[in-house]
Amino acid sequence: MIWELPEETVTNNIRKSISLKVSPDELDVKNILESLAKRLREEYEKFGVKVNVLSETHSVTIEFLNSSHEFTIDVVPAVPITEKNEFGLPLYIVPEIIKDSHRVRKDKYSSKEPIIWIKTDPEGYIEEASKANEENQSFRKSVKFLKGWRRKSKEGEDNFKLKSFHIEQYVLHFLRENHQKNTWEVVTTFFDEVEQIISSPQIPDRANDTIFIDAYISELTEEETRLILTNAQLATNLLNKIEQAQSESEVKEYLQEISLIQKTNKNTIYPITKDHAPTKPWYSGDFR
Amino acid sequence: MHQQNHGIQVISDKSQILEYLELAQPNLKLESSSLIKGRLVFAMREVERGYELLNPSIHYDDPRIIQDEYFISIEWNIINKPYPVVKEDGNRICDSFKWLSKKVTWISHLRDLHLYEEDNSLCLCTNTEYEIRYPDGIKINELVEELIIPFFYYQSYLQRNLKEPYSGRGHGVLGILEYLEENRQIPQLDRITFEILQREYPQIFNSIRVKKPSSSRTCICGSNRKGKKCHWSATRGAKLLYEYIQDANPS
Repeated sequence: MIWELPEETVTNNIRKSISLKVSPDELDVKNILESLAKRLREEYEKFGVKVNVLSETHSVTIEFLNSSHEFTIDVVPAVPITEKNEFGLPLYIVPEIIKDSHRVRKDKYSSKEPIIWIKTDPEGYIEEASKANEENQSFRKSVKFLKGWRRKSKEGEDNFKLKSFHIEQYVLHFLRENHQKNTWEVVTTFFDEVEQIISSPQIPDRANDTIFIDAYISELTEEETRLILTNAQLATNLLNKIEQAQSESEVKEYLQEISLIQKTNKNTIYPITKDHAPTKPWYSGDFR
Repeated sequence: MHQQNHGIQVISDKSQILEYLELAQPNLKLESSSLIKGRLVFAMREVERGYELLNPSIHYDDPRIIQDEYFISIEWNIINKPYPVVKEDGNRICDSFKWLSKKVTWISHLRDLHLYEEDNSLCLCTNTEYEIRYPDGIKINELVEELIIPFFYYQSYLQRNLKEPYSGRGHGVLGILEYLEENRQIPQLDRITFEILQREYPQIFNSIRVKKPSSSRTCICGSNRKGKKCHWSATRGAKLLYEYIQDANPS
């Protein structure tokens, strides 16, 4: 669903420029978020989906309650600006200092500093990812596998801080320079290079090259860094075992040990095959 | 237009519906004895002799597989509605109409997307097809798998590719005649088409009855083109109906 800001909440200042600091008085973020939350509550109610919608300081959080696995989604209000990316898609500004670690963010929000609107390019990231996958199918496969490793590493472990978006961007940049690499090569290189990957921020934001999407790693504690390295080493050891493995089941076992691949639905009713052509839609009126 | 005494309704009982939904469509909920509401999730592809519904919770890379979801409601046993009423509550089809009508030449009314403008309900198939396939009523799995999912497959395919996966039925009597032509092997179809046309499309019924339709004459849709170059299979269907009328009642 695309929801546009009510006209009255957009001040001229935001339209004029994106580098300006908008004080909360000029653009009432709170109002925007509350009306967004209200609208979301109404829309989900229409569909009979049970949700809890919370208006936070810089976004709206939707908690989905009645599905089999509970989850939350953060909705960030974004204002399109005239500037476009190389794909001709508009950039946006958002009221969020998203590139900082949670800790830094928390400090900034509580200090009552004026909110800085920053440029972002969400559509560019999506376009780039789908282009990357068109070029080389290992993009999606390796990202999926590495994210599964991240999920596994996070199981019962709050100190595992590597971000999923960071992994995706690493793979994207790696494949841009190494077009022909397959999933195995991407994954093994990732684990080999992980120490270097988390040594300093190095992936600039698409919309603003003075900030880095991996800026959060400079905030990692020693313990958090060590945890990433240890888990990567364990994965490398298991990958080495795979190379020596004798059977398919052995390979599967090791892979499952490294990465938490989402369980496939146990739904056994599918596939259902129908031996007649699909029914064609009709309209009963018009020719009487 | 319709009387209450004919029509097809859902014949599955509550426990059958609950069991089916749990197995196949867990995001659809039975809200009351004759209302289902929620998210329809599907993955479908056409195969050589028919089509296949795949497990929608798996992601497929195959572009021939259409994988999508729609918020829908299904209601039946409504007075004056001879068939179950299915609606798309998420408004995607209405929204898609706005841009599809600019890009696809044959889409100029919402009804071209097989939607009734009065209440946005969907027209899943011709009424003759309902009568032929489900003479004793329709089971919930048949309704979902044979009518509703193919309908949304068609819609989702159209939105993605700006063309139909197969052409939808012509409006009104044209679609009924096309169905007759395509299914001429079904013996009772002639009679059912005869009855429905006589009852619901009397004007066209009479024009077919009095003058043998021919694909070399102007098309029954009223265009200036010849039948064979316009609605070819509807014209052939009209011919079949004319022959049936002649055989049944030569006077």
